[in-house]
Amino acid sequence: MELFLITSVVFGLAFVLSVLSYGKLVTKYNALKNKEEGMEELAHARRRARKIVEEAGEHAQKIIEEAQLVGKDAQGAVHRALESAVGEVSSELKERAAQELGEFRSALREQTSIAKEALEKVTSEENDRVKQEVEAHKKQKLEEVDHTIHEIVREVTRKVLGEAITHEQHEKLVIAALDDAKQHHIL
Amino acid sequence: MQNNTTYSKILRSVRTREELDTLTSELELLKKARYTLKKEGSFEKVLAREVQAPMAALLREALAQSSGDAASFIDGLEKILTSLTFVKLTLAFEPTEQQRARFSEWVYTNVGPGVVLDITVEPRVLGGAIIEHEGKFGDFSVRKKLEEIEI
Repeated sequence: MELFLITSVVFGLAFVLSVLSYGKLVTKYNALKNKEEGMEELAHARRRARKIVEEAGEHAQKIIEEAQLVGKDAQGAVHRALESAVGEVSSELKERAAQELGEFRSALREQTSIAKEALEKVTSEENDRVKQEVEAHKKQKLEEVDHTIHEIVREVTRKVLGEAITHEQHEKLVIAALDDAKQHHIL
Repeated sequence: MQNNTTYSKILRSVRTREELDTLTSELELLKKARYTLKKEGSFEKVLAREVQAPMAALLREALAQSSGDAASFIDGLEKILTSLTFVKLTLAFEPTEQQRARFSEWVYTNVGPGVVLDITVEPRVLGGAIIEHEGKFGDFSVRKKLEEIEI
């Protein structure tokens, strides 16, 4: 019995181990199979890629050939286009330069006018100020001359009167002064 | 106490400040001789000795008309003299006695009694007079008129 049991266990273990080994073997087989399929796909892709490159090369060669055929015409067109563009740019520059020159002239004229007006104003004010100073000086000098004349006339009159008035005339002048004083309520 | 009528001739004779000062000084001398004035005939002696003849005559005449004695007569006169007012005249010339009399006469007639002339000579006034009376002032000189003339 025991032997049977032991044998059964041993056989059981062996069976289990066999099953596990089989599983591993299957897995390994599948992996190898996949790898082989990938290699085939890779080769196929390489072939396709080569074909695409070859086709692209042919297409490029064709384009280059066509391009070479139209190159000369294109150069002429480009040249004409460039000349036209340069002509347009030059014309536009001329117009712009003329416009800016006109604006500059206008601004310059305006500034010149403003400066002229300011200068005229300053000149006018200065002129007025000088005139006023001259007038004031003239007035002062005339007043001084007047004062001097007054003084001379008074001095001469004093001398003449002082010597010319008689005692009788003095008395009459004093009586007249007394009359005036009474009239002015001083007496 | 005498009334103003007693002194009227004396007051009329005092025309200027100088004359007033002279009379005041003479009266002072008379007052100093107060005790001798009481003696018989002594007033006349002092009057003749101390007072100028024209004024002495007026005083003698006034005293003769007065009712009081010489001392009270002098006191009364001094009191009136202190109440006199002045008209100050600044003139260009020294007036003669006759001219002083005429100016005084004008003042007596136009202003009234009890006013004495106070005369100052200032040739620069040229003519006419600068007049002051009781704080009022007026320049009526020829110089002032000349200054007012616009040439």
